Amino acid sequence: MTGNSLLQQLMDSFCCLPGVGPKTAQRMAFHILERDRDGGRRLSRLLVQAVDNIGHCQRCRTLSENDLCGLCTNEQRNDVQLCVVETPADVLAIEQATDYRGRYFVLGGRLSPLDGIGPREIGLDQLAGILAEGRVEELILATNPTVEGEATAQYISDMAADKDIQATRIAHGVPLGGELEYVDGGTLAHAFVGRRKVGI
Amino acid sequence: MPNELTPAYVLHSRKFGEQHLLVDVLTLSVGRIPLMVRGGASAKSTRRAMLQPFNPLLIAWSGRGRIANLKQVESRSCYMLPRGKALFSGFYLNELLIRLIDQNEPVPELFLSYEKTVESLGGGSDPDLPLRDFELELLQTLGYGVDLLHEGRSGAAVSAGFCYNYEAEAGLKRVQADAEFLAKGDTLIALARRQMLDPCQNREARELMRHILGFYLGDKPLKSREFFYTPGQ
Ligand SMILES: [Zn+2]
Repeated sequence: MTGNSLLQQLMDSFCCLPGVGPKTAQRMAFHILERDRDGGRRLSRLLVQAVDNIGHCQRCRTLSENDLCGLCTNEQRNDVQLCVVETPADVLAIEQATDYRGRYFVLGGRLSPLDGIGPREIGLDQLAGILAEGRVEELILATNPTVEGEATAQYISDMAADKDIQATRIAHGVPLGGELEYVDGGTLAHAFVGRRKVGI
Repeated sequence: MPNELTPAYVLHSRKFGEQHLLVDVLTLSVGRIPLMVRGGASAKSTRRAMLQPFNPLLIAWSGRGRIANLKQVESRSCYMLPRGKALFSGFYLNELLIRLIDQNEPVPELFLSYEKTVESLGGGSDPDLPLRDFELELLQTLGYGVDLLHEGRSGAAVSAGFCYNYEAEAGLKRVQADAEFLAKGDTLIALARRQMLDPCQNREARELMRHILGFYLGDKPLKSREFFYTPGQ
C-alpha cells in the first residue's frame, strides 16, 4: 500500500467527512471493497448526482434538487408562519421534533461582522421580499442561541417590526453557545412552544 | 504570567478543524492574543457556552509559540448580554479592536474602558458616552490622542460658541460660522469632560469620532455598521 494507491486515496477521501478519522475511513474502504461493491457503486453514483443536482430552493434557500423545495410547494403548509433558521439541518431538526406546519427561510449562516458576514450575505434582502408579499403574520426566529444568532434575530425582528409583523424567538432550554442541530428533540419542541415575542 | 488567571473577554471565535475553536481574546495582562481551545467546538463542550463575546471571564493559558492553549476559563461576574441595538454596538467595539490593536501588546487602560462600555451596553443604560470614551481611549492607545480642548495648529483654546472641523494628523480647526463643520465647541468641551450630551451633541460627537477613526481604518468600512437596520432598505 503505497502512499498514493487508489485504496489510500479512497481512505483519504472518506476522511474529509465530519466525524470520520483515519481508522473509520479504513473500515469504510475495506467494507466496500471486500463486502459490498454494489453498495459502493450505488453510493458513488448517488454522490455524483447529488453534488451535481442539489442546489438551493429559490424561495427558502434550503437544499433542494428542484427550483422550489418540497416544503415550499406543499399546499398543506400555512403561509402565515415563517420560521427563520441558520441551516438546512435546522429545518430537519424542527420538522422531526415539532408539529410546526408553517414555512421556512434558511439563512445559510448568521450575521457576523468579524467574519465579513452582513445582512446581504445571509439573504436578508430576499427575506425582505417575502415579508413584503404581506402573507406572513408571525416570524419565528430560530437562530442559534449564540451571540451572533441573537444579533441576527434582533436584526430580523427590526425588519419584521418595520412591516408590522409579529416576531417571536424560541427560548427555553436551548443554552447559550448551543446549536439547534445538537439539541435533543424534546428540548427543541419545548423551545418552539415556549417562543416569546421579541420586544422592540 | 500565563499560568495565572487574568480578566479577559472573547472578541471573536471561529472553528478550527472540526473539534477546536480559535478564539481572539482581549486580556487585562497581555492585551489581544489568539488562543486555541482544544475540543471547544464539539457539541458536548461546556466551554463554548462560556466563550461568548461580552462575557466577563477569567482565563489562563499554557504553551509557547504563536498560539497558546486555553487552560482554564471561569466566569468573572454575571453575563449580561447586550440586547437590541446595544448588541450591535458591542460588535462594533470588537471590530474596532481587531482592526486597530496589534496582538501581544498590553493595553490595560483600554481593557478597562472596554469593560466599562460592555457593562453599560449590557445594563441597558445609555451607551453613547461610554462608546465615545472607548473611542477616545482607543485613539490614545494607538498614539493618536485627540485634544478636544485646543486647536491643532494654533493651540488656541476651543470656545463653546465656535464651530470646528478635524484634520488628520493636525487636529481641530475652527471654521467660519456658515461653513460646514463637524462639532460645535460646546460639544467638544462637554465630551472632553465626559459630561452628558444632549441628542444634538451626541450626534455631533458620534460623527466626529467616526470621522477621526476613519483615518485609521482606511478604505475598508466597518462591517458592523451594516448591522444598524434602516427601515425602507
Ligand atoms: Zn423552499
